[in-house]
Amino acid sequence: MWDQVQQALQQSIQRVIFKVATLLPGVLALVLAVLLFAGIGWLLSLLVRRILSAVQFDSKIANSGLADVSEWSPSNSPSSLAARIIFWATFLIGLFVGVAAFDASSASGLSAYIVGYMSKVVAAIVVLLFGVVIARFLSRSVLINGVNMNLQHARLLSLGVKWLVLVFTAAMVLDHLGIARSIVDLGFGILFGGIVLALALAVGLGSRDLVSRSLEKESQKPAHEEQAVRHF
Amino acid sequence: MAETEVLQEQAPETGPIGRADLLVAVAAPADSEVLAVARERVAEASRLLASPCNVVFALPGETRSSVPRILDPIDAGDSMRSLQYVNYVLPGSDPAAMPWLAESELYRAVFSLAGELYARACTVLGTGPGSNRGSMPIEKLVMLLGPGLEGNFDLVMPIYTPQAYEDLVNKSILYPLTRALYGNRVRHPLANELQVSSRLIAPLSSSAGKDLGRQQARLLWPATTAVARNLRMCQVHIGPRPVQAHEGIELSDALAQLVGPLFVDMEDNATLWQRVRGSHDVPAFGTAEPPLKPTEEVDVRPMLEAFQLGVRNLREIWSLVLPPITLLELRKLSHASAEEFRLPDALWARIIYDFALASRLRNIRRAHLFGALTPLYLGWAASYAMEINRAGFTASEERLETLARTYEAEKPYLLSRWRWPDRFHP
Repeated sequence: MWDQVQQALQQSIQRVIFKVATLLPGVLALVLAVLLFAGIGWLLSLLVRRILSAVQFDSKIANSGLADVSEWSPSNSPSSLAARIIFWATFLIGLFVGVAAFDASSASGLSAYIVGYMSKVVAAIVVLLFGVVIARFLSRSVLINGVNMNLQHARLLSLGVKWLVLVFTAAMVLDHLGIARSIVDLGFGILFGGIVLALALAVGLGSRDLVSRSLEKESQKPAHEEQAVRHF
Repeated sequence: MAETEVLQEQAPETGPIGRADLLVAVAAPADSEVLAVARERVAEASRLLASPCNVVFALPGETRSSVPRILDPIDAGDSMRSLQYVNYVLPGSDPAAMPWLAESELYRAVFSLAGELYARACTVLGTGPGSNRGSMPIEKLVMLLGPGLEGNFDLVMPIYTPQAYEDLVNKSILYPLTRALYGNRVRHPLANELQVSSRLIAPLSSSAGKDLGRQQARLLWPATTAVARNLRMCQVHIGPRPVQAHEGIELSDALAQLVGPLFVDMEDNATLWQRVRGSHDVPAFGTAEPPLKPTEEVDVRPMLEAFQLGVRNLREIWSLVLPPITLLELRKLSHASAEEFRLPDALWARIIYDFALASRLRNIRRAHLFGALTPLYLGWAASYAMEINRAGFTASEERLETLARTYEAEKPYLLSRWRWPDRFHP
């Protein structure tokens, strides 16, 4: 009895060791591919940065009126943005190559699935990044313009806009990744519709007087200010 | 442009003008009546110039004249004096949306024309619908035409009659900042009238036709250009500033259009202004007029409320620009009662310097930067207006001098932050 157990255990251990030994070249290939491509990416990004710096790419972009590019870039430098894009693109290629090598050694058909899903993950990350950037931008714009329009609840409005965009982005990301699609669709529809309805009711019923008073105040203000002070 | 057409009918065509002594341009899309008055005044003033000269009068038109045409001889017995006219095309910028950029483009077009005519000097007369500089008193017009021709000065800038509650962006930022940076006390660095000599025509017109884009649009700062080239400048008292018709422009947009280009200029001229310490007077001619009496006292409450609203809501955005000590001072100020409220000059100067640095570092979008500056500016305006309300409108000049000196005194703070932006500032 004990011999049979011992034999079964030995066979299991042998199978595990065999499996690890089979996977090891693949893992090694994956690590090597990632490191190699990261190195290549670093060199390429350095080269791109040097070339762009030599042709004064940043100042050309700044003078061309594409100031938005500068403002969205890390350290406000379009060259840095280009260099980072090159690095991460090369790194991702390395990751794909590594996964393919790993898959070839293990012969599990995993890479086709991972590569297929990775493209969705990358797209979802891009959507998420854009969403966060747009949410921050819109939130700041609404806050600053609200304050300059003397809206007492500018901060609340700005927070509302920020979370609306973030929720919208999250729904898009989850939908893209295929996670709980029907729940996301339904939940988002209810949430969004509810917010709009609540705002409409608040403005239409509860805040009617407040809105009309604000509009009256706003329409009377410039005439008075014009007489007294001229800023420019 | 009806007047232009009439003039063209009257005038026989001549050959190329070759060399003009003085180009006088009406830099505004003015109507025929205004142009006729301006033409008469310029002709009259030209007769009074000390040295005989060939004057070309530039009028805005729909098409550019290929050659200047004779308008009328100034003096039949004096062949050395003549007055000719030429048309130039107004640049395409929309003056309603970006008035100051449109003005600068217009000035560049005029200076470019002056360069083509090899003019020894170029005088620009007024812009904007409210401006009618052709009708200014003759002696003042002569002062604006003569210095460049006689070779005494390369830049003649105007000094307008002070008005306590007007032109506050210039009073609070443009004048004291340019004075502290470049060391010249030019009262209106962004003037509507000016004269430049041939030495300044080329650099000022060099960017004509260059597409700088909307965001990085550059205004002309002739005094800065003159300082950079070590040229001589003077100022002339020419009376009240014409009322600028800038209706419909938001204050934050105006700040972005006026102060934004000055900050961009600071980046370009960093090596120049970092060497300058203190400031000196620029010679002024003509009679200085006392400040005009305002029609009414200013109600500062709306401006104060805007400032307090800003402190309550924009602290997070200001923290990207201002150091903690400034934020703390602003917070304390927001609790002050209307009677006690006073924004110290040193604090205001440091705020402007911090915003200039933020514009350079671009850690916040430009539109947001000037939007965030607006409540602070209104706080300064409220503080200034309260002081003038108390002390009387005649105290406005003294008040501005104090502010300008404070900007100069706080310049080391700017230098320190500009050179070591990453260093911790409490």
